[in-house]
Amino acid sequence: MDKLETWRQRFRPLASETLPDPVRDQIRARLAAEPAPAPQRRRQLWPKPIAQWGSIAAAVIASVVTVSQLAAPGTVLPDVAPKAPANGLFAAARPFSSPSHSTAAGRAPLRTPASPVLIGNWLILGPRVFWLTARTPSGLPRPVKALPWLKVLPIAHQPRRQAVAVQIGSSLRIARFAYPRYFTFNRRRYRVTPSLRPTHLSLSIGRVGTYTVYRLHDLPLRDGVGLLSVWAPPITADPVR
Amino acid sequence: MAKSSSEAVAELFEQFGEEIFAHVRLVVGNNDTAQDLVQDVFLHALRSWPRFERRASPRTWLWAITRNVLTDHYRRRQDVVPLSEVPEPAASADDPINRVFLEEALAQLPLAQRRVFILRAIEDRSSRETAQRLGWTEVRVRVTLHRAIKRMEKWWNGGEVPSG
Repeated sequence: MDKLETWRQRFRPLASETLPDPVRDQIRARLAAEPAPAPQRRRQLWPKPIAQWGSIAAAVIASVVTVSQLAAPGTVLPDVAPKAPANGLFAAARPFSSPSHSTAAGRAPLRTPASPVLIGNWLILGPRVFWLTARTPSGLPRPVKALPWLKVLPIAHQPRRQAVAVQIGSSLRIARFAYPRYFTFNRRRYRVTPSLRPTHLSLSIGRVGTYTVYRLHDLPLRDGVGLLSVWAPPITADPVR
Repeated sequence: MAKSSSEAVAELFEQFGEEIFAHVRLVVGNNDTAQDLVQDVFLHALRSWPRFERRASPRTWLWAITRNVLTDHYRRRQDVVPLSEVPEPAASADDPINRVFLEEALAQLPLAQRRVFILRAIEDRSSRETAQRLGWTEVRVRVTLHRAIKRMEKWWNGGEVPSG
């Protein structure tokens, strides 16, 4: 008898355990009472269903229209400047490491009625443009001279991709992008270059429709660096739709 | 006509319920917990039935779920052993004292060793089948079984077994 067989003999009394009938009945009943699981739908990557093309086209048109409506680089509309936070244009910005900025997990930031509401940002880093979906009630982009809010991070498993962490107001967002890629912005064609780092930016303020637009420009580098923030007007008793 | 998911899983329960219970019972060393866990296994199976792609046999799939349910159980439980989980002599056993002794012998093995020991030494599965059920390589099964037997021998002969 081999060693394993010896142990098998010793433990034989334990191997005879069966499920008691009441428990068996209980499990059967539980299985019958459980709601049927939803059928698994496979994700269809391509071709897209016709219905989706409509929404994709609408999104593309909307973004083209939005971008085309933006003031040209350098346009300054000083009349809207006072609508920035009352405590000064950059005073609302807080240090990068401040705990109050840790909203990256997707918590909706608080809306302060008297503050303009940021509805979105484009980050222009080198030749790259990113749509950042930050929504934040207060605080404005700090000048890029104080760079801690902007970091370029390589994505480890995809060496040809990079991520940008941007702190805007009280939100921290990660934008991802890839290169090489070309894009056109305000009729200029930008080429991706991997080694761009912003040195400084300056601010101008414009207006698009009912939105106040803060544009960081003054592109000191060949391919340009900028941050475009679109803000809704302050929320009032009669909100702007 | 195609069977509904609950009918299909109920059929699997009839087919493999005992086998899974026997194994889980040996691993956790407690009837009530084992019954709960078997129910969990089949509820999980029912919920993930639409995702079951039939690449493996239903039995292999069920054993994978069992493995996960057991892992979750031990992760949740950590080192806390409720009083109700102290092995109790079963009414059906011929010799309750011997049974408690055997339960203790199994319980002193670390979880990985215990599972291999149960599958190989008690349930008489081959190394290959044990490896499949645990999601391990056969080499790992053999090495772990070797350690389990050494430890079990020590315990059986009244020697000191290292903790953990």
